[in-house]
Amino acid sequence: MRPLSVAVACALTLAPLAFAWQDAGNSQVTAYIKTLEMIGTQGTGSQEAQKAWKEISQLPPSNLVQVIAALDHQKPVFANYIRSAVWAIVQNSQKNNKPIPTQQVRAFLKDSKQNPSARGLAMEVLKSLDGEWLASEIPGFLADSAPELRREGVAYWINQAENLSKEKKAEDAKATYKKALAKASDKDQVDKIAKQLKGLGENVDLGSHFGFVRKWNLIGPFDNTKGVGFKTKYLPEESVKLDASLEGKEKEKLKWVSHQTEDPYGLVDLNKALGKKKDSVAYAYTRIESPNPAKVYLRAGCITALKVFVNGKQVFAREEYHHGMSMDQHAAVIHLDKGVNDLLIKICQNNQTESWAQKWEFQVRLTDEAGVRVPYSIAMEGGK
Amino acid sequence: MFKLKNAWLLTAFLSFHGMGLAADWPQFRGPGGSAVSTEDNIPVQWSAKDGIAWKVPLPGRGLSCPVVAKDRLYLTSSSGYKESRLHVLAFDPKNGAKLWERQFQSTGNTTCHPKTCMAAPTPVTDGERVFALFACGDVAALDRNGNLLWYRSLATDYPDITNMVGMASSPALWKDVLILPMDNAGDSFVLAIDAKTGKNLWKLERPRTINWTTPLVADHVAKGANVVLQTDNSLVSVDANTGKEVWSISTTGPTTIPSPTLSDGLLLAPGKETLVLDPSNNGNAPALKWKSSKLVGGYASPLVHKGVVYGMSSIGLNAMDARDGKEIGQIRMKGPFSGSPIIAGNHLYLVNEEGTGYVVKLGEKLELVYTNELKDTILCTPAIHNGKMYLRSDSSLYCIGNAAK
Repeated sequence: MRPLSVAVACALTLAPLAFAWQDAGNSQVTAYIKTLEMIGTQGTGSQEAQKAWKEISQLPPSNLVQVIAALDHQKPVFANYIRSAVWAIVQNSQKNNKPIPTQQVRAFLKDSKQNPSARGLAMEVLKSLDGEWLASEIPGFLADSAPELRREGVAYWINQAENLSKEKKAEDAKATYKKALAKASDKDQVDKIAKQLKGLGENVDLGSHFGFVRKWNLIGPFDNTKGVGFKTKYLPEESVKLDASLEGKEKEKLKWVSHQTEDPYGLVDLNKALGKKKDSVAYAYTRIESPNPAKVYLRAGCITALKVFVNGKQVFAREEYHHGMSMDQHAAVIHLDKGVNDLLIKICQNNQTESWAQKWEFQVRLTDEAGVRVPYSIAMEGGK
Repeated sequence: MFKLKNAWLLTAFLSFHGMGLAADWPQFRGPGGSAVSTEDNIPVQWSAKDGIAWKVPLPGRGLSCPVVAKDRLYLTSSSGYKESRLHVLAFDPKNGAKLWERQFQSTGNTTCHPKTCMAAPTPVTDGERVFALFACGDVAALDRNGNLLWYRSLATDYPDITNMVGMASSPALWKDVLILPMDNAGDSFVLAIDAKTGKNLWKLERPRTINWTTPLVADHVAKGANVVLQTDNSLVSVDANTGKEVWSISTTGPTTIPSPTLSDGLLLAPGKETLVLDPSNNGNAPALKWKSSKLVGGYASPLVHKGVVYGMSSIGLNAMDARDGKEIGQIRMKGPFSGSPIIAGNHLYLVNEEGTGYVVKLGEKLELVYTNELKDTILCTPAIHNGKMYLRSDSSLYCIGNAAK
């Protein structure tokens, strides 16, 4: 049998085990986990959690999967109690020469209905315990719904493509890179694939792949002397009328200008689009048409202070200047209505004079939780 | 405004250099943050091949320094895509055996300058517990056996924290008061947490500027302790129990990278102009004795020992008379230095970013006695414990010393 067939057969055989632990879940363990789940903000519940964590960490390895399964990344502090307890169980079991039920962990990993982050943790555990089996499974992770597994799958297929490239099998390499690209969402992997494909004569539309918003209407400058503009609600925050003339900084008459960025990462350079201004605020406005109501992750990069408004409501604000910019450095969970949604970005510039403090730019993209672009289009005509 | 007891200088000195933790190196820059060890038998010669007692791989990057207490060496690392996996590790300092490792996932923003990472702050330990602060605002408290005591996500509790360069200030501990320095460009504060419960004791609003200096805990028996906080426009001392201001000095000399030091009867507030202050100023704020622009070049914090202040300038090590700032020696060294100098016995140790370790013999005349090439990127300050020196790179933890010892 081929390794993949063996793995599938093995998984089917073990499928009942995947559910067995749920039924056999120790109620006391469940109670300990519930206690950890009660952890609140600012340390509330920590004392109770301390006792519960110790109990969980001393569980026999037979409870390992039950604890892994409890991990819920939507509750990040709780998730860290679980994550660290899992490693404590693993290390205690190894120290005491108690066998760890890797078959159960395997079955859990392969159960796509489980929490993606919990499956990611199961994969990490298996990396340290069951590396050979895991390696045989990784090629199949390419389209997995769990981002951590998918990343491993993408890495595998990138490696395969690199090997094909070394063997001078250019067309096979190209096809394999494309296969990896179709499922890749992490910037380092996408960039690596795009670079290799370019070398093979294929250009990747990174802006489209990442889901960057590239078509905007811009207006500015409004006053941001001594940072006042960050808190000041200029007219675009009340309503956007693209044909209106607005009074800007030093009573300058301002008009919205249409702008489409050609930057592969959706970067909008305001110094170029509006002229180099200091102590200034600019607004960028666009209309996002969503095919469905959707919970979306708006991810932004901006080296200066910014605010984000969706359908007239502020969803993000960060007042920091010239400390660095990277793709996705800011994230906000937003809700898009079906149809057209207003997206307004406020980008502030200060008066620093250093050569490294002159940039005035931003980038925005729309993705799912894992960083994969969501379906949308730009609807600059009409609107809500 | 100022209520100081003359005794605090003496008691601070005793607590830093007293018998109880003499061999421990429990926090950033060692006992009390003084960067001075009481030990005098530390190796002076090593290389990538020789003089290494043991070397173990690390699961991730880090600028944090090793800390050692009660036969445990603790260290932090960060790894994975976007450096979002956080590690707290405990080793046996005698042989490098990994005693336990706990992994967490960052709950805050991991954006930072590529030179740094989430494992930039150095953990602090009292021997029974270790407290690890990460640049993303995650705080893990563990006992010496790796049991999780509590976990805090400061990014969840205070979502307007923002520092796109990356946080790096290290926590400080006084009894059960854990001091977390969170000066940043957004919601900027110093937070005191009950080390036993993980709950807030007090929160002090701070200037909205990024700041990498580590707080200084100054003990004084009668009233507890003060916490000295440095930024680029002030030096502030607050009561460790309440966070209430004890004294403050407005000044433009100190900066936001090198950390203050209280040792040998002096308070050093380093920066473009390092202030050398007398902390026993009749109950008032420390009085300026002298200042110098030749004690900080880059990231390294100066130190004071046996009447001499040592600091880095752009060309190397400078030594100045602690009484009046008179220059008494200089040694050229090749930087850059991310770590700070330390003193053990009669030698000063300093390792540059390329892993070149300089050993300077102290005395009436400074003498560069050894230049040791580790051939690894070193961004941390060395730790001293039980006759050994510990260094970490992005991939390895080194114990420098005699393997048989």
